[in-house]
Parts: sequence; structure tokens; C-alpha cells
Amino acid sequence: MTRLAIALLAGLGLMAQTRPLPPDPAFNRVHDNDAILGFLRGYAAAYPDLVTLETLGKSTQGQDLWCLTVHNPKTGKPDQKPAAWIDGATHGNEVQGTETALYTLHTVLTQYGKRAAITELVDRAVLYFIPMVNVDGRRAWFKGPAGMNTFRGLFMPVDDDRDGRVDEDGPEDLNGDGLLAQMRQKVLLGLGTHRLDPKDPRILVPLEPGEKGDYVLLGEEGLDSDGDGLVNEDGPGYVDANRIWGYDYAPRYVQSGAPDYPLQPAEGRALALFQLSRPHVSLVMSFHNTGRMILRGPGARTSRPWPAQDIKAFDLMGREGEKMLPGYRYLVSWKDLYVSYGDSTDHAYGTLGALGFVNELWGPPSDLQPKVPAGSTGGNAFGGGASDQDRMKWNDRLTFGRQFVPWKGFQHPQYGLVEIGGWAKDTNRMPEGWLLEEECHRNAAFTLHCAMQVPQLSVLDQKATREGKDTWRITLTLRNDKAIPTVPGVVLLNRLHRMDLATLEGVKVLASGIVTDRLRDTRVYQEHRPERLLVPGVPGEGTTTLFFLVEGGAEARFTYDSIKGGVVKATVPLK
Amino acid sequence: MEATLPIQRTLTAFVASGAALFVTAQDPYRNRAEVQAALEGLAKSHPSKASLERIGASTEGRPLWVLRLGSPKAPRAIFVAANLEGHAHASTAATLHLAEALLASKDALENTSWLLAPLLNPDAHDAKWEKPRGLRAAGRPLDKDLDGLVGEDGPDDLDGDGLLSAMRFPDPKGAWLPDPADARVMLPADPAKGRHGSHQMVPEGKDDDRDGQYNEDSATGLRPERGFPRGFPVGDREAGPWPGGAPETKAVMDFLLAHREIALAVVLGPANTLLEPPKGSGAPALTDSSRVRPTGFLPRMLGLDPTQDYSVAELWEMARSQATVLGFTRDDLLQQLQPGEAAAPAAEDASHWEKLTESYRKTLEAKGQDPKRAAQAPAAGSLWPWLYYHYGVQTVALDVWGPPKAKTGHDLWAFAEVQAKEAVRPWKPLTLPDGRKVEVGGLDPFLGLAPPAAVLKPALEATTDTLLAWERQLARVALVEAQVLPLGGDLWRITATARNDGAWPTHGRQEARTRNGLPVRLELTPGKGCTPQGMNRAALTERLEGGASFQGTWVVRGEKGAEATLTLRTGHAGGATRVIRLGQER
Repeated sequence: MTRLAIALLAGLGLMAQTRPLPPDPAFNRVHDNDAILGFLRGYAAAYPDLVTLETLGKSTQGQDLWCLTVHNPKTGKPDQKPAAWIDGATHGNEVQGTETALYTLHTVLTQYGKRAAITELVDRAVLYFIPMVNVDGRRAWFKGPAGMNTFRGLFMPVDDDRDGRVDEDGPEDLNGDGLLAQMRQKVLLGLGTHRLDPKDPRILVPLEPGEKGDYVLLGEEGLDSDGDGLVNEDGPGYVDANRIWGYDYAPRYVQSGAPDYPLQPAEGRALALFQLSRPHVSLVMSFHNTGRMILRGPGARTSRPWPAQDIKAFDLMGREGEKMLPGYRYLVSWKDLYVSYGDSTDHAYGTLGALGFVNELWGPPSDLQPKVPAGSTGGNAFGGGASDQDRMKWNDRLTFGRQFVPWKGFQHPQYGLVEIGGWAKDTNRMPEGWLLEEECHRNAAFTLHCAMQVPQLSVLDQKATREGKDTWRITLTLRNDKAIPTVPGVVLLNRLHRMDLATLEGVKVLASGIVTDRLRDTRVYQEHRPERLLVPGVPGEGTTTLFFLVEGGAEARFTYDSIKGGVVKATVPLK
Repeated sequence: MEATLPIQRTLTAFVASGAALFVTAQDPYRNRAEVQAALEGLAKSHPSKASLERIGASTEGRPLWVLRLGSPKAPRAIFVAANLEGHAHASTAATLHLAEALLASKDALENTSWLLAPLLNPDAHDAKWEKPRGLRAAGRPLDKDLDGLVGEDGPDDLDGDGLLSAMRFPDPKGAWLPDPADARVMLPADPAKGRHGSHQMVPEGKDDDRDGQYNEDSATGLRPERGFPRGFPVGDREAGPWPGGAPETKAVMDFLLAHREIALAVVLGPANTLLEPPKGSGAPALTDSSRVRPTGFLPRMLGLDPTQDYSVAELWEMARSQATVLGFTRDDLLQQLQPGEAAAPAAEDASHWEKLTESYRKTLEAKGQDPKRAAQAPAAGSLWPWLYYHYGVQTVALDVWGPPKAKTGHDLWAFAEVQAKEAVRPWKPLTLPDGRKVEVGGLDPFLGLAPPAAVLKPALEATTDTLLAWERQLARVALVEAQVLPLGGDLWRITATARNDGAWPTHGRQEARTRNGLPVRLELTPGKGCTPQGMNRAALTERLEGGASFQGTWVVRGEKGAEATLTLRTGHAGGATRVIRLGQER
């Protein structure tokens, strides 16, 4: 006892000497990729017993795709535990997705051993963090020049204007202020599509019937770089990292941003292959912006129907999310937002059997957002919720004008005199620093709530009854305490991996099956190979009862091996 | 590297000597080492015309070859993709036959580069020469029956005849029955026609894992021919975890994407799109008058009632005003209204195929083939649908050979009885280790895929003749006229006309819809002293039918004698450049 205590103390002392303190990132600002990688390395150094940092492959531009795995080897093998996957910045410009994943990671590691719920999660599940999916786009956004909507996609070259050259005419920072802003032009009254807001000339308003306009919008700052008469018509990419995946894919003529075939870009292929060898993942959270939405698939109505037991688990988590994230709405992607094919969460669901959410972080400042009843639908991704006038006033009062770059004249070689200005790149899609931390915290809490919903199995009840001289009936009831089924319906629908497998050692199994009604002892026998009982899972927050008719032995050693629910064992004495 | 067999060395030497190798050979089917030797031989013996490119590796690491015949600088290419199945032996033979004919041809390589992939699934291919032989996939085993055991129950040669054939046994739950008119032939059950299942039919072999299913999980892996994105069969473990999951599938797509000069892609394998034209499925495409219900962001964006139907034209009229602001296009609107892909081939393409079928049937007849024989349509998830619907190219699938139509309805059986008696395997009764009484036999599964040499020869000629004829008819676009008209002062109007002198269109209709290839483009580049009036430099058209023309018009300012360059560009139908001088051209 004493010797052990000394050894422990010595061990702690050693730890204190060699292990650096965990990083303490500031969550009131966003960090560029180098800083993020520094944090990841810091966590790996501070928690070597829990953390593995590895690269899953290279991006289109040859950067590493980092994955940090949290796993406690002392509590079992990783492939025998359930798992969750948390990623961010699938779109390069949606940068705070990375901070939100990082905040979740920070919470898990720093609260391990302090908060029982976190300790329990880390001890029973594997957590994969991929905080920078579109690592190239995110780097380009920080490096600039950039705008709030630039560098969303991957850098796989695409001949957008089909002139035989790729990426030859993207936007330019004409006035050298580091921002890819907007261009507008004053034209003769009657030629315009807009007019100035009489109260605030920074704002253009569309025309009402009977009005004449004297302004036109010319799009993103830039020139006709290739002399074809078009401006910014073939910029970097464009392949959208959330249209590249291998489930419910559609080609480019159906939706822009699609690759030539699924998982063609290096990023998607590397991540998908890593996932494919980890079918224990049953929950995926992907952080995007913007619009304050908790989205689930399907992305298109043409998707194969999603089984009801999976929808039930989605609903349990999503509705809880609406309470934990004020202003967020739990929505179905194709129906309530827009149609998309081949997104990462549909891929995770359709090919991995993992329930996936996309959280669209942030939205118009909450004090400007009109109250929308929870659960109501109708998109707010297209600027719904706050008027330009309200946003501008908020910019003036609460950021002292930081967010909006005033219009300035510029002699454009193709258009003549134009004005360049608009919202700064780190606005609208992301909160101000003094709001970021709360946003990160609430989303991390919701993510961990979902991660805690990966299946948790136990043997609730076991019984052996003598049936004959040397034959016994063994009945075992398994309980899943969490929302996600051990075999989600989609696993069976799409034939993704084997069902749960129940076996007995130490006895000869003569027959086996499932008790479908425990009170009336209604049984379904497995016709062949009773010693390998294949079970279509234990439902979310539910039970499954198995029976075996066996011969001989003093005890039966039971193993229930669930790909997504982990492995549980029990010994049943035969007496 | 595989060991060199004596036969392979002989063949290499034979081919290297420049002798016509194929047509006279007794056995037209070669194993993969012999196919590779033949390709290397052709490349070596025709260094100025032929070269060999490795486009990837199979699951088991074998090279995938493309033989290029003709110049890489040719304005267009024809791609022939054969035998993704591995066991479509006639298609590999046809590709090599075509290669011989091209090298002997006077003009087929003049304007066209031919990219020939005779064997895209080398791993599965040599099963024909194995003992026992049987149709099998290749690569890493899968857990096909999802029981947690991998490759634990494959076929067995129960009767020791060296062939893995079919096995049948009575089972009232079965989906097959013996034909009442000829009990050797198995028919699929069809209750609507009064045919009730009485038998199971499975591959020959015992139930190794005692799960009640026979040979349901052989120790072989993916079938690359099923793994393409269009119509990918979700849930078919052999198709792969996602489209392009098999290395062969991915290698073919990557090669095609790197060769946008391909004007025609021909798939040689089990399907024939001329004898069995592909039909579509799903809802028809939206037109302006279709009435639809707006979903998602549309009701709010356009101020619509989400419980009402609107016509597409109405919706676009309302969305148009938002278009400039949001970069919202009509295509974006259509995607939200009726998301999804083209459900069926375009009418223009189908009518072009009808013309091709007409002349193809004549070629078949001339070569003693039955022009009305049965054929298969391409399977969902196979290469042809991807080429047509996603990649965007004019494409045809051909099956090289098929048995003539027989009165009995069992074409292959009727053919076998007259021309390939050894392929008819009488059903032999056997008892399995589990006590079940079964019969093993049926038709040799290789018969339809590798018919006897004498039968194959005219079929190869029909395929080769067809492809050579198409090469001569493909679109070729020429700059047929360039005019400079003085408008007065120092202004000039330049007009240029391009025409498609081929019989085929420059682009298929669906190809144009995919917008993946380059359009037909007429561009004016002003030279020194020549200033364009207006910013637009290029006139574009998405497709030109055979014989059709189109025009570009520009106005420039400049002194007499100033130059401008007219460029006609296409992805795969040729092009031209002409320098014109103001005042010296009419």
C-alpha cells in the first residue's frame, strides 16, 4: 500500500518534471493554422497517456491533415469502444469551426478526472478531432487577401469558364488593403438596380416598384486578368469540400462545387479511408457557419429513406440542442435549408452508419435577430433575420465601425470609376471576439452531449434455467443507456458492416435467438449456426433479450461484440 | 514481375517481328502475361505510331495498360475501355484485333489518337486458365454476407471436372425453376406468368461455414465494373464502399479526366447500347411550364406561399431580380426545385444512336452475325452510364459477340448445341456433406464470354469495322469563312464562320449539359493597332450538329493593314487559327 503510494507520488513528480502544462488558447479570437497546430502538439505533449496526434494524409496543396485522437488505453482497446468524430473548417472561410472543435477538445482534456461526465466519456469512448478539414482554404483565408466568403473550397483546379485554362482569373485586392471586398458603381439614374439608402449611403437598397436606381453591384473586387472580357470568372478551385463525399453524390452539372467523381480531392479520400477502417464511429459533428442551425441530413429528398429508429436518435439529440443553444434551430437539410449532394455528414451516415450533425455556428447578433419559434422552418442562411440597416448600426455602436470598410473610389481598368468597400472578412459569418467564447462553449457542450449518446451497453439481467438433464436455457438482457442504437438502421439498410455478434464459450450451443416479447416469451430462432448469434442491435435507450439453449459445462462465458457499442462480457453459472 | 512463360517469349518475338499475330491464332484468348507481351510487342515494333502507358495498378498491384496508337498531338482521341469485368474475354480480343487493324490502316491514325485499354481487370482475368476455372472477382476478400467472417464460403469443384459451374436443388422458397420444355435450362420464377419458384440456383460448392447459404462469401473482393458513380449500387459490397472505391475504377476515371481530347469513348464488355438502347428512369426534367412546390430558402427569399405550386417560369421571373445580388442562377433555382440528374438519355442523343444502330446492324449482317440478336443494357454503376451522364462524352457500349436469336428463347443453349457441344454440362446428381441432394452442371459459364475461335473471328471484324467507320464520321470543325467589312472611318466588322464537316455532332446533348468539356469557341485576339469595340472576345456554342455552322461577329477600330487573329478552338473536334488584316480581307 505505502509502496504503491510512493510509486504513484514518484510518478506524479516525474510527470510534473517532464510533462508541459496543457495549452491555454484564448477563445476570444480565432487562430491561424500554425497556432492551431501548436495547440494540438501542446495537448499531445501534456496528455501523452490520452492523446495521439497523427496526420491522415496530405491536402491538395500538400499540407498535413491533422487528426488528434483522445483515447484511454487503460480502459480497453480502441476498436472495442464506441467512438465519435468532431471536425471543423470543412469550408476554409468558416474558420471558427476549428476553434469550436478545439474548445471541445480543451474541455475534454482539462476536465478529465474533474467532471464525472467527462471522465466517464473519455474512459468508455474514443474521440477523433479533425479541426482543420480544408486546411488549404483556412490557411489562405488567414494569409489573405481574403473576404468573408473567399477560400471556402478546396484548391483542386477547375476550369470554371471552360476556356481551356484553369484558375486564371480570380479576384484581386485592387486597393491593397488586404481585403477582397465588393465593387459597386454609380450609374445614370434609371440604369441602376439599386439606390443608396437615404439614411446611410453605405447601404444599397433594392428598388421598390416605381423607383429608379443609380447604382449597380459589380461583385467581388478584381480585374479581367486573362483578357477575355469577364471579371473574376475563373478563380481558385472551385471544389466544395462538402459536396465531394461518396454517398448521394451528384455531378457538377447538378450542383456547382462537385468534383468529377466522389472523393476525388485528396482531403476527402484521406479522411474517408481513415473513417472506413473505424466503423465504431457512431456520431459525427461537423462545425460550419453560419445561421444558427443544427442540421441533419438527408441533403436531398432523393436519398434512400432514413430508418425511423435513427431519426428518433437524431431528434432526441437535436431537440436537446435547441435548448442548449439559444436561437439555434434543429432542421433537416434539404427540406428546411437547401438541397445538397455528397456532404460529409450524409457520407458518414450512409457509408459508415454514424449519425451526423452540421452545426451552423453564429448568425446575426442575437439582439438583432427576430424571435423565431423553436422547431419552425424557413431558411435564415440567406441573410434572414437582421436588416442591413440594423447590422450597420450594430457595427457602428458595438464595434465602433470595425466591421465595415467604407466605400472608396477606384479607377478600374475595365469598368471605369468604381467604389470598393464592404464587410471585413472576419464579420457576419463569425462573432466578435467578446461573443466567440460563449458560442464555442455552448456548441462544445452540445457536442459532448451528443458524444455521450454513443451506445453504452451493459448486461441488465441474466438467467440460466435447467431444461433437461444436461440442457439449459440461458436468457440475457442487454441494455443500451444512450440514444444511438448499437446497430443504426442504416447499417442494415445499406449493408455497411455486420450486426452485433453474441457468442457463448464453455458450453455447446444447440439453438439460439432473440426474445421479441419478454413477458410472453415470444422467440425468433436463428436457423443456422446458433453458436454465432447475429443480433440487429440494442435500440437507443432500450433493451434486447437473447436466449441460448445449451448443453453441458459449469458456466457459460458470454460475449456481446458490437461494432458501434463496444464489447461486454458476462459469466453465467449453470447451477 | 511475373515469371516469363515460354509461350510469352515466343509471342513477344512473334509480335516484335511485325507479323500479324491475332487473327490467325488458334486460341484467340490470351492470359494477362500474353496480353501484356502483345502490347509491349506492338509498341516495340511500331515505335513511331505506338506507345504504352501505365495508367494505374490493380488491387493486387498489376499494371493497367493503355496502348496509344497515333500522335498525342492529334486533334481528338477515341478511347476503348475493355474488360473491366476481367472475364469479358471477347472484349480483350476485340481490342487487340482493333489495334492490329489500326496499325495496318492507311489513314485511321492521321487525325485521331486511339487510346486502347484491352484489359482493365487483370486480377480477375486469369481465372479462365486456373484449375478449377470459374468466374471470380479479385482482390482482398470482403465479408459479403456480413457475418463477421471474411471469405469463408467460396465455391468448390464438387464433381472434379475442373470447372466451377452452377448447382441447383429443389427448394420451394427458391427463385428458379427448370423450364418445363427443357429441364436442363433454369428459368427465373415469375408468378405473373404462372412460373413458381421450385429450385435454388447457386454456384457449385458446399456450405463451408454451415450458415445455410451456399458459396455466398468467396475469398475475392471488389468488382470494379460495378463501382462507378452513376447509379452506384449502394449495399452491393462488391461494388465498393463508395463510387471509385476500387483502384481500377478510379484509374479509369482519372485517365479519362486527364484526356479531355477524347471525342468518343467505347466500352467493350457485357453491354451493347446499340442493340439494347439504355432507357432512363425517374422523373422527367422540369420545363418552364412544370408546376412545383418551392422548398427550403425559396419561400422566404421570394416571398412565396410554401403550400402553393408555382410554374418554373414564374419562379425564375421572381428570382431574377435577386440573381445579380446573390449570384443566383436559373440552374441554382432548378437544383432547388428538382434536384438531381438527368433521368434518361436526351432525345437528340437517342436519335443519333438510332442512326448508328442502323449501320451497325448492316455491318453485323455482312459479317454473318444476327443483327437482331439479344443484348444487355449497361448495368447501373457501370462505366457507360458514368461516361454518358457524368463525364460527358459521346459513348457506345458494345458486347462484341452474342448468340443468334433462337426459337426456344434460350439463345446460348441453342448455340451451344450446334457449335459448342462441350460447353453443355449435363446436370450431375451429388450429395453435399450436409446431406443435401443437389445437381451440378448447366452451361459452361465462359461460353458467352469467350465463344469458340471460329465464331469470334467475324464478330471481331464487325466490331473493328464499326469503330473504323465511326472514326471517319466524327465531328471536325473548320473555319470556313472570315470576312472584314469596312464600316467607315477606321471601324471594321469582322465575321467568322465555323462549320462541323463531320456526320457526328461535336458534342452529345447530355455531354453539352454536363458542361465538362470545352464548347466550340471562336475568339478574336486583336493585334497591334487594332482595338476591339466592346469587351466580349469569344463566341461560343455548346454543340454543333453534323453539317451545322455558327458565326462570330466583332467590331474593331484600326488602321488599314492592322492585324487580328481568329482562333477556332474545340476540345475534340479540331480547330484553326487565321491572321487577318484590316482592309486586305474580304
